[in-house]
Amino acid sequence: MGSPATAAATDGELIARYLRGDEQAAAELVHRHAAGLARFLAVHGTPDDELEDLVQEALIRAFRGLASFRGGASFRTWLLTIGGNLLKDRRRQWKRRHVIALTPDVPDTSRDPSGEAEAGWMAARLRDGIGRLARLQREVFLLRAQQGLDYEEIARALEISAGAARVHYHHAVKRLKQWISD
Amino acid sequence: MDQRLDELDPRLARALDALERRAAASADGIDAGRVAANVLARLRQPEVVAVPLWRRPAPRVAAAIAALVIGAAVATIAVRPGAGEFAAALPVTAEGSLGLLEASAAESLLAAVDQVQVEAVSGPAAPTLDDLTESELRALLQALESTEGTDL
Repeated sequence: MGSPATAAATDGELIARYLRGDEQAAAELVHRHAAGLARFLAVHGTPDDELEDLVQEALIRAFRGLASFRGGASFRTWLLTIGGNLLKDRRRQWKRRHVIALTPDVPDTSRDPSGEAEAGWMAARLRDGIGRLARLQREVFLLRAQQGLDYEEIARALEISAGAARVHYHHAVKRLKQWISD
Repeated sequence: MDQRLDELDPRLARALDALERRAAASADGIDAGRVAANVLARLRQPEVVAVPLWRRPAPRVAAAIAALVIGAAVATIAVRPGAGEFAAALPVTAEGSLGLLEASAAESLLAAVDQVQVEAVSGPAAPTLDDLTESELRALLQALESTEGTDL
């Protein structure tokens, strides 16, 4: 995704360049992480028409907060955490405005009536279940199951212990399994 | 991806896989170039931070509270009989906060406020606009116009 000149640069190097005033470094970081952040937020249940705005806002907050980024977690994990917090705030606004439909999408069954319908139903059911989890269970589950992070990095990002992250993950999986099976 | 899905119950893993495919389709609608341009444009602008009232500089909060108190007192006093004494203090209070009042003007203002408070406790029910005479209504309108011009 990035330009050849900056493809080898690490996130840390790009951050340092941006802090010295190099805007291209910031643009490279956006190109590198925007899609992953969007997928993370979409799995969290962000409506499609809010997705780009939310991605943009999370990136702006991340760049403006770089002075407080201690580097304990990776930039990507830090960005996902900011996105998750931002989504939590936005959900409150959306609830007040009563404009967001929280019901699952109706699956498109036009191509494969059985397989597509079941996949669509399961995706919607899981998204609904994820939305019902406690905040830390939800965060840990998505960072682990969707983003593939190890417990130590999840713990650093969420400022909890690795043991607590394991427990939250275990409870999240148990609840989601039950939710899917009901 | 397979490794982390292996940790999950097969049905849950399939559901997560389906959800991720949908999320990826949603994310495909994101134009990274446009996002980058918008982010850089916003970063070039100075950050606007909304400061809550309780974190604002004390003099401004005090001035705002003083103006509110004065405005309320003006409106209350002006609709009552005998508002003439208070009217003398109005032009002074309209120019700024209580700190700008001269000693005599402040005393007459406080006396008028005290009188209203006593009346509120022991006097008859609060009059409505219908109870006011023409001159009292005029005084009220002037008082309201003066308070609207008060600069915080």
